[in-house]
Amino acid sequence: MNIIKKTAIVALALAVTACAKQPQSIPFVQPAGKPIQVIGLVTPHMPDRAAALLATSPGKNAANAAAGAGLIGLAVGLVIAGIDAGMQSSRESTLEEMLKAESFNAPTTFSSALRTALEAKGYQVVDIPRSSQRNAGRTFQENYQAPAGQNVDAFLDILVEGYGYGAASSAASSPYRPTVYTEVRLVNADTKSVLMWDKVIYNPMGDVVRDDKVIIPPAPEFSFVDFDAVERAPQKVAEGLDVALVKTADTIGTLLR
Amino acid sequence: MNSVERIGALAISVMLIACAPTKAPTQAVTVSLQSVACKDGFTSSHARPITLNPKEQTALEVEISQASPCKLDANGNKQLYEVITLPFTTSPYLVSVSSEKIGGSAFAATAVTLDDTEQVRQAFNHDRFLNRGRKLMLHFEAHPDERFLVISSHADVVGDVRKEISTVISSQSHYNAGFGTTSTLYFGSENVGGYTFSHTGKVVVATTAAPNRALNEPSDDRTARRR
Repeated sequence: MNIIKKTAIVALALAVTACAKQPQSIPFVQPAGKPIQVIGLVTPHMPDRAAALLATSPGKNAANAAAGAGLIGLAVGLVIAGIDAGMQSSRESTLEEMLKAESFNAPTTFSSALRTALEAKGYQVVDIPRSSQRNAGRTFQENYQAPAGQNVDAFLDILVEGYGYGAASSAASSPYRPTVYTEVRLVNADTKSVLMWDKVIYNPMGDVVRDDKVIIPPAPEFSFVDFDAVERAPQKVAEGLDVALVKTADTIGTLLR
Repeated sequence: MNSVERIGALAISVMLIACAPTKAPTQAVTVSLQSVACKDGFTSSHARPITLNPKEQTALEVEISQASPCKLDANGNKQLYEVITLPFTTSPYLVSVSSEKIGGSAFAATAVTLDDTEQVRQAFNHDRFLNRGRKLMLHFEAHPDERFLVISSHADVVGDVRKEISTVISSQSHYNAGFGTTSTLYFGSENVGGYTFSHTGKVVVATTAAPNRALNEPSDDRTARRR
């Protein structure tokens, strides 16, 4: 059995295991005796820039197909994958410039929307800077500390794994729409127990069947037939992303009721 | 018709049945309860029990139909309901209530839990049922003193139509015999669907043991596993 076959079998086994161990969300519970009133909102982790994602493309498929055809195929596949990645990077640079020109700041928009959503549910909100721990951008905080003199009942830690625009394919019937991926955890400040854990995704690119995450369908009006159409409508693009981030924040607030 | 012809005819019939497109499941959309008689109060007389298995999920399928009991809400609106008797336990556990989107229709759910004196312990409005997979799902922690779960239709949203756009990614794997390798091609498309909120429909209630809420387990493990 060659190594590729072994790898494929291991990958299949991992996939099956992943399905069998489908993680469940942890619903919010108010601790007995001392209800949560003040939430420390840890500055959400967000990627440096918005993504411009094509979930599937002829280029990606060609790279996959070529990679299966021996060493030469693998080399060809890597070249095609490189071209595809280059195109994505170019689209993301364009999107970044467009959002900057529209004075759209995704982290500020999201943090502000979270504060609004939490206050609407009756919580007081204290801003907590994200620590500079190792791998701080990729995982939840290891430790939580309220600022001196501030009383905090629980810490809300949010990882934005990605945000931006995504399309299912390059076909005109699969337009670019805003997308936001988050993972959320609320931790009791006193006991350090997890009061809530979940994933909230605005317009997921596939995987819409499993019930281990909250799915927010995209607003129909923010739809761009291709990336050229995205480039032609900077104001609407920023507006669509604003709606996606605010709706995601609002849904996170709903999970804390 | 000789035996060979009979076998041939039988084979063709079997093939036709096998190849016939399977009919998608449907459920009725009930917008009006004008003809349904309602009472002011609620009764738990025909409540159905659900158990709790600490090792695995226990699920109970509930059909809310026009034959279900009907009561009036605080605004005098009619609502159909079903009652589930919650398990006797000594510690908290998780309950999920899923309103399944079937054939363009979904039960417009609200839920409350009651103690043994029928006093409300927790109330979950319609907007607490969030999109998870192909369901609208409520997920909460129940406590030992909660005796009944009442699932009711919510007149305020019945008849409302929700449009839903979703991205679907499918894959096809090809085995390359020459190189002994398998490559997978991915295809993406956008689906536009929707559903209408109904007074009737299918709901699945499930119980599971309370999760481990320790800080580093299981949530951090989940995070690590996905990366």
